[in-house]
Amino acid sequence: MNERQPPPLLVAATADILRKHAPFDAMAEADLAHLAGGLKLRYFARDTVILSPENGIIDSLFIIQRGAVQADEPTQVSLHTMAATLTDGECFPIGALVAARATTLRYTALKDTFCYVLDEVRFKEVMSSSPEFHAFCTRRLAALLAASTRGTREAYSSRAADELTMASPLRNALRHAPVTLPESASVRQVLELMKSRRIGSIVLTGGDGAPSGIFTQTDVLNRVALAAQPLDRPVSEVMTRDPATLAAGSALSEAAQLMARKGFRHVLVIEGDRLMGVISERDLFGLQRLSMQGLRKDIGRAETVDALAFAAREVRELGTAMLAQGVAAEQLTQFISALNDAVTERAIELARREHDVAGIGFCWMGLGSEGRNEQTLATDQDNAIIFPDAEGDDRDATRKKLLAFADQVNRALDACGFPLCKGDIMARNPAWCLSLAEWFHRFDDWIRNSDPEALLNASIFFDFRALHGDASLVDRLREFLLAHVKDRPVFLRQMAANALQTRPPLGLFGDIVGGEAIDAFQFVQMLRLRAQDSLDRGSGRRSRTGSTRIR
Amino acid sequence: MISSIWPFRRARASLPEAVARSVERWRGLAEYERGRPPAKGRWVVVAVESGGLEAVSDTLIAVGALAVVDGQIDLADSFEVILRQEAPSTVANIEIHGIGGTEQTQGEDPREALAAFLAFVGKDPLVAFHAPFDSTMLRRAVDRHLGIAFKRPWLDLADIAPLVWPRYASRLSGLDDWLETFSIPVAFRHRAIADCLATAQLLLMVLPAAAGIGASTAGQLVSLSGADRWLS
Repeated sequence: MNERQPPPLLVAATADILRKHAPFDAMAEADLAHLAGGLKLRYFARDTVILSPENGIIDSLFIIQRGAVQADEPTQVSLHTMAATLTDGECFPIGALVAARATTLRYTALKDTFCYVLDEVRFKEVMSSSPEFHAFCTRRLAALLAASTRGTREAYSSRAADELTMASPLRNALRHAPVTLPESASVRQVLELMKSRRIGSIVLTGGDGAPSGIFTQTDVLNRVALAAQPLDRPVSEVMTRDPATLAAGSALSEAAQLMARKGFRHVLVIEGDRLMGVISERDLFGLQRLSMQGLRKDIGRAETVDALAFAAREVRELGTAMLAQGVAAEQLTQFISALNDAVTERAIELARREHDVAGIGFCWMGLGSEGRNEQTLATDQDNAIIFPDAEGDDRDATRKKLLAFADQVNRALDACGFPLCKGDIMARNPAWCLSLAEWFHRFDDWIRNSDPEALLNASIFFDFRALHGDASLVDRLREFLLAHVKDRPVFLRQMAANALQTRPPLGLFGDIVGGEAIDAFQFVQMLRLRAQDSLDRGSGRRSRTGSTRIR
Repeated sequence: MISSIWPFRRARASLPEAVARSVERWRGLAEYERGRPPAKGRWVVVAVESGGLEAVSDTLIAVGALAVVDGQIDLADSFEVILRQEAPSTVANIEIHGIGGTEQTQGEDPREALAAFLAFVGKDPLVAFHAPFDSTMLRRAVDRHLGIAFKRPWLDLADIAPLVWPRYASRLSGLDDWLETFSIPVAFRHRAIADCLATAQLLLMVLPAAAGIGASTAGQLVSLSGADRWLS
């Protein structure tokens, strides 16, 4: 009977119920119908255990139709039990299902609860056909955001099995054996050991050898240095007692959630009653890069502007989550810029399918903050197009094609949360969709006429960067600019004065590494340094530390 | 009544070959296992739509059925058919179930539709809310179109629900009352298959509670329906 399709009315009715919740509300009609058509419906009276580690490897997804389900640690290992309540529309256990492992949590009906059950085969079919559902299920870091906003939601990754993800067990993330001392040791002994082993935390053991507390670098500051505690006191007086513990089989996301929930920075990892190691918040932060890669793949997989917009929304959520966790602003802007680039790139690819621009050999450029990799969570579009000067070709006909194409890209980006530029500095504006020769002319003009408008334009347009297409065009434009600007001290001085009036954006001279973007940075940096230099010369001062001075 | 003993009141030779074979197959199926636990095995929730509310005189317009297997509803394990009518039912009637005149006159051959229904339900126990109405409608239609007696065990949730939840018994009567009390969503009330889905959710809640009302087997649970519907 399972090969049969349910009556359309049942499918529609079920889809209607699901559509009240994310991610089902964002899914395409056909995908949601396919999902709904494969569902079974089960009932769990209050206090019934729905799933627990004893169920073994998970082969279905549970979606709560109505009711409430508590997810908690079934074992007594954890001193601080974590419990979360799931309600209508929430799914579990995504992590265990995609990782094909047993769940580490126990799910119990808090009240009479109905759950839809989706078997693994259909789950995978929907995962591959629906970018929205896929994004939802593989959104890893969102688990952290979800943990702080709406209770546990497992949102893990299905990517490469050997890759460490938020769904991986804690034991896989431990970097070294635990370093312990008896709690009777002096603070000095503890600090010396931390220094010699270059570690941020030490686990202290009681008389029975079992962990009794933890002492971390933060404690040195707060409880020893600032509290003016003598170093010969036993560490037991300043350590944190009863540190949080999790079983080694628990997922990294559970550690992240525990930290987010309780405000800890370290969690002890235990196998049976043996201490395996300590996982720190810093260890988890490393995984954010992986989360980025996952999101990046989702972006590249988006087949429609809607799907892309969904992914772009995830980028912003990720950014918000990272910001909330205190990720450095420099790092954050870099991350977000990289993902926004991917969104732009994908929007361009999608538009290319409908416009015959392949033969033109153009390049799409990011400008201003976009050009400097300084995009933050809310940023409007600044972009332009450069195309080659072909012999005897009708430049305006080429421009016309590119403008129609650019218009579609600009609108798609708008739909993805990058508002149209108020100043109309966008590729769809004929003024900024120019051939190489036209750009030379335009740049030359600005350098010669250093009136306020030219300076403004220069400050936006000289921070340009190839985003898609033939980057050699952009290189030639840059060479042209460098060659012409160095003979124009007046212009440079004005640029520098201009730059000093406005507070430079974050991260401009941060420790940024990697990729093609470097060129743009180095260029802008160089440009400003030269400007600074000429300014200093003009006022009879010399700057030895250019970059810090500009900051 | 002689008709309830003798299954071949009408000439079965008049049935199309495939229908006759299907009916024969159904008659040869083994009866469900009365001794199984209520939460195990297959129950089939049934709902019918008719041309009116008189079970003994109105015609059967549509049948919906949805299986509950091992305490689980499988949306794909379901059945829905509209029986071809010579003339559509009244407008007032159409407004109740929403099956339009054209849909009614373009429905399936009643013999094929009912044979398919038998194949779907097999010999599993049937479930309905106010079962006498559905069982009478189906018995009459099967008798008329297939010429056999359709006498099946029916579990009537209108009888069972008050036993499971006695505190609600005095103030809840109709299916709508129970659905509302347990917040069971119903997409399109009085459309057979949608009614089945809602009724089946009520059944899911009843099954784990069966032991608590003295029914440790499926057979006992059926017997708890006001009268044993076997011979109704």
